[in-house]
Amino acid sequence: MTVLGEYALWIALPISLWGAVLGFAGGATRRGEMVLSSERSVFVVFALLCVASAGIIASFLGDHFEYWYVANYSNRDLATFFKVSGLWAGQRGSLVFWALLLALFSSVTVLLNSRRNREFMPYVSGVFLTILAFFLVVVLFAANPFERLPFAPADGLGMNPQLQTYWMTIHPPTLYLGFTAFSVPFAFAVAALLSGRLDGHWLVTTRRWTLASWFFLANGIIFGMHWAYEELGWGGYWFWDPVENASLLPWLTATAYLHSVMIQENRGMLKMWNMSLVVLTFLLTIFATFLTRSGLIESVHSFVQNKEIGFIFLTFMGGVTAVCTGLIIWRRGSLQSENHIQSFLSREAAFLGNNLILLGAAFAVLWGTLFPLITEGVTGQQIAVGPPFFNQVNIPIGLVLLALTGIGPVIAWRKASRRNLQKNFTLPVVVGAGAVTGLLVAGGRDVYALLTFGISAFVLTIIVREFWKGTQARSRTSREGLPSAFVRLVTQNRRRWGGYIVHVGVVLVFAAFAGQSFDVEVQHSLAPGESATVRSPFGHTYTLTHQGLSSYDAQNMFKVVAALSLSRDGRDVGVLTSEKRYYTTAQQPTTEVGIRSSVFEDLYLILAVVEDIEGVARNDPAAQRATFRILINPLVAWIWYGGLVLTVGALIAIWPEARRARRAEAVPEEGAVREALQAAD
Amino acid sequence: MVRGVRHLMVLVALVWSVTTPAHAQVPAQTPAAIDPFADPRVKEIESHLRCSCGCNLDIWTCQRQMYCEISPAMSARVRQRLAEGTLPEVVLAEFVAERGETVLMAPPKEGFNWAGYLLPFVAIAAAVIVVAGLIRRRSRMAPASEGSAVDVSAEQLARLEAELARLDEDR
Repeated sequence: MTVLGEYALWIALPISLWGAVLGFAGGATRRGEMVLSSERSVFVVFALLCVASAGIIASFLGDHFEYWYVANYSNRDLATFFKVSGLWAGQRGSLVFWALLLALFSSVTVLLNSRRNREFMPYVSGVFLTILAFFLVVVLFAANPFERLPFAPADGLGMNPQLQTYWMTIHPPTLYLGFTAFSVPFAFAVAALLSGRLDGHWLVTTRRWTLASWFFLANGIIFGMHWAYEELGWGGYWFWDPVENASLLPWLTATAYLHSVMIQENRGMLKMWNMSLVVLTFLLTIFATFLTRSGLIESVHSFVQNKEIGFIFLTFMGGVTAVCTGLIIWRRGSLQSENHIQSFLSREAAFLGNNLILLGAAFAVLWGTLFPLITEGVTGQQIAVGPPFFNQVNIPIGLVLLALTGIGPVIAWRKASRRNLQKNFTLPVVVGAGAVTGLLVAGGRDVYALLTFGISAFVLTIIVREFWKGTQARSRTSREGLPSAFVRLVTQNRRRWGGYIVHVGVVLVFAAFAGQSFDVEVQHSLAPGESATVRSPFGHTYTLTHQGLSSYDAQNMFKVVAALSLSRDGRDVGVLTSEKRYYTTAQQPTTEVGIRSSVFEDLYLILAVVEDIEGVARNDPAAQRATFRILINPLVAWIWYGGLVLTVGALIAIWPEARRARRAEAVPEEGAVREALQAAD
Repeated sequence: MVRGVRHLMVLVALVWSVTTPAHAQVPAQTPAAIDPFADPRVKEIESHLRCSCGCNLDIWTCQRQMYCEISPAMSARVRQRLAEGTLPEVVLAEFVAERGETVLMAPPKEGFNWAGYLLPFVAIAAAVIVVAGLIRRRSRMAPASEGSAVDVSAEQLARLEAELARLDEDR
C-alpha cells in the first residue's frame, strides 16, 4: 500500500498539469472534450491522493520506520489513534493532507456545477488542478513523505507529546478545511475574470463555500485556542504566535469579503474590491502554510525549516499575485460599480468602514508578524515582537470593529436620516454607557475592559432589539405566536438572522477577552494536608488542599498525578487533579492541567514542580511536596460559548433555503426597492 | 547610533539606580525573600522579558509551565537585582544591554520601532481619508448621470415610500 501511495503521487502530478492545461485551453477554445478531460482529471487526482494518503497511514500503522517521515513522527508505543493522525502531524504528510482536502472540494465542486455553470467550469477545473500541481511539486521535490532512510531503525522518535491529544484530530483538519475550502471562491473568481462573466452569478454560486471556509477557519482558530488552554498549561489561549497569526489573517480578510459582497449583491458596488479580497484571502491561506514551513519566522508551531519549500511557495504566491492582478486590470471596465455611496451615514459606508478596519487589523497582524524581519533588514538589529506589541496595536482596532458589528446591520441603506439614527441607537448607547458606569462603580478600572464591556452591551442591545422587532412584526402580520414567528423569521432569511447570531458569538468572545483583565494568580508549595486559598474577583474564596501524589506507568509514558480537594467558601465542591507526564520518547515532561469550569470563571490548576520525582516513583511519603500554580480566569468559558453561538449562526446562514424561499430570493428586496426609489429621485 | 543611545540609557539608568534615594530606602534582601506573587514588580519585569528556550513565552509564564533552565535562572536574576534595591527599569535595561532587544517581548518605543507601533493606524487613517475622498468626489459627480433612468409615477412613488416605511417598521 505504501509503495502504491508513492506511485500515486508521481502519477497525480502529470495528470494535474495536463488537466490544468486542458481546462484553460478548453475554456478558451470551447472544446467540450478538453473540458471533460480536465474535469475527469480532477476526479482522478482526488482518487490518487486518497491512495497516497492511505499509503502514509498504512506506513504509520505498519511501523515502517524505513521511511524518514514515519521514523520522525511515530514509534511502536504510539496509540493507533495518533498513528492515523500522523498523516498531518508533520510537514510532509500535512502537505499531502492539504492536497487531499483540496482535491475533495474540487471534485465536489465539479460534480455540483458541471451542468449549472458550464461557462466557468473549464477554468475552475484549471485553477483547481494548478493549485494541486503546485502542492504535488512541493511534496515530490521538497517534502516527500515516502523518502526512505538508508537503514530501518528499530523504533521511531515518536510524536511530539503535545500533539498526543484528541485536539490533534480536530484542530488541524478543521483549519485545513477552512484554508482549502477558500480555493473554491478563488477558482470561481478567476473563472469569472477569464470568462468575462462578471455579473453577480459567481458570487451566488460561491456564497456557501465562502461561508463554509469562514466557518471552518473560525472553528479551527477556536479549537486551537482550546487546545492551547487545555494542553499547553500556561493559562492562556492565544499568544500571537506567528502561526496563530497566519491562521487569523485569511479569517479577517474572508470576514471583510463576507460583508462587502453584500454591498455588491444589493447595490452592484465594490466589484473590484471584492475580487481583490478573494484573491488576497486565497493568497493568505497559502501564506499561512508558507509561514509554518519556510522557517522564515521563529514559531512554536513551525515544522522543520526547509528553504526549498520557501522558494517554491514564494514563486507560486508571486505567480498568483501577478496573474490575478493582470486579470483584474484587464477586466477593470467590467468591474466598475453600478452605484456609489451617497452618504457616510449609510449601511454601505458602515460596511466599507468595517472592511477597512478588518483589512487594517489584518495588516496590523501581518506587519507585527513580519516586523522582526523588516527591522533586521532596515536597521540590522534583532528584535522580538510578542503579545504586548500585538495587544497595544490590535485592541483599539478590535474595539472599533466590535462597535461596527452593531452599527452596520441597523443603519439605513443609502442615507440614514437623523430619525433613523435616533431610533436605532439611543437605547443601545444608553445601555452601553450604563454598563460602563456599573462596572466603574463596581471597581473596574481597566480602560480597555470597560470599553469592551460597554461596546458589547451596545451591540447586544441592538441585536436583541432587532430580533424582538422582527419577531413582533411577523407575529402581528401573520398572526403567529411569538416562538413560531421567531423561528419563521430566522428561517425565512437565514443569511441575515444567522449573521446576527454570529455577531452575538463575536460579542461573547470579545467579552471573554476583556475578562482577562480580572485574572488572579497564586503559587504555593504544598505538602499533603496543606492548603492554599485563592480569592475570586467575584468575591468568593476557593481552598485547595493537597491530598498527595500518585505515580504509574501508562502507554509510552510515566505519570505523576496530584489530587487536591476543593472547597468554595468552606463548602466541598470536589477534587481537582493535575499531572506531569514523562513520555518515553521526549526529553521534557508535559503538564496536564486541572480545570474547574463554570459560566463566569475557570479555576485552573497547574502542577508546576514535583520536587522529588524519584521519591514519588518509589512511593516515598516524604517526597509528596509539590508546587502548584493556581489561576482564576474570569469569563474564559465565554470564548467556547461564543464559538458555539458563532457555529450555530454560521450553520443557519449556510443551510440551504427552502425551494419557495429560494424563489422569493429572486424578488427584489429592500435594496432593490431603494434602488428604484433612488432612480426615481 | 541606536546602540550608542541604548548604552547611554543603560549608563544613565545605572547611575540613577545608585544615586536615587529609593535605593537607600529599600533594605537589601535575598532573592528568595522576594515572593514573586506578593511583589508585583516581579511579574511586571518578567512579563516583559522573553525566554530564549524557544517557547516564545515571557519568563514569568515559561518558568511555571515549561521544563526550562533558562527562565528560572533569569527569574532568579530579576529577584536578586530587586532584592539589591535595583529599580525595575534598570533591571530591564541591564538585560537589554546584555542580550540585546530580542530579550524584550515587545520592541521599545524608539527609533524605527515607532513604525511598528504606528504604521497600522497610519495605514487605516490613510485608507479612510482616501476612500472618503473618493466617495465625496463620486457623490458630487453622480447626480448628472442618474435621475432619468426610470420613469416612475407619483402613485408608484407613494407606493414605494409606503413599502419602504413598512420595511423600516419590520426592521
